[in-house]
Amino acid sequence: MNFAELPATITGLILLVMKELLKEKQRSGMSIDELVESALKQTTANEDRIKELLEAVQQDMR
Amino acid sequence: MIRQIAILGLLLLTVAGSACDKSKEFAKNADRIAGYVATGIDIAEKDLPSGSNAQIQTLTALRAINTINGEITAEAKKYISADGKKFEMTGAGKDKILQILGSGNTTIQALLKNEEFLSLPAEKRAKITSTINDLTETFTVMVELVDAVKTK
Repeated sequence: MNFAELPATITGLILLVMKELLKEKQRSGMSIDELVESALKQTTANEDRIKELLEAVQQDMR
Repeated sequence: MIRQIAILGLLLLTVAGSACDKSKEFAKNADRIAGYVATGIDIAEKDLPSGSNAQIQTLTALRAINTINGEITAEAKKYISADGKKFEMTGAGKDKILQILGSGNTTIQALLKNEEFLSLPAEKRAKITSTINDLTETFTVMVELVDAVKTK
């Protein structure tokens, strides 16, 4: 473990928790249909981003 | 530690809530998984060495989990009643969803054992490992939810 990077790692983890708690609060006010739509919409956005990132990595390798 | 306590709290709420509203809990967990994958992509992009095998393997595993989550959500949607109050499956439907959930867990565990991933410095691995642990716990809760669903 690089101790110099420890504060940044802890801050990063706290920010992740806060982001998830905020999202969790939003979820509790959503209907089932809204939750399903949100999950499918995020899944599509995730696929697009992963595709874009992997393509960028492949281009860098060439 | 803080993160683990928060996640444990969320999971306890999930399990407690599942008894009264399984379909909503299932949908919430599908949305949670999609969110964790998005967080994993952010971490893979910003914190893992660009173009490294570890980054590629992580993104590939996240892609597989994302696809699996999409399949589970689409499949489960068939069994939620129009008013969203009932979540009843056929035995075959339940088996299919459990099988897809199982493959999700296998994909996650394979990444955690991947040599390229394990070769990353601990501080680089910490955040992504934390997100992967959240994914594992959420998949486990989903298996429990589906197991408890009535079959027609």
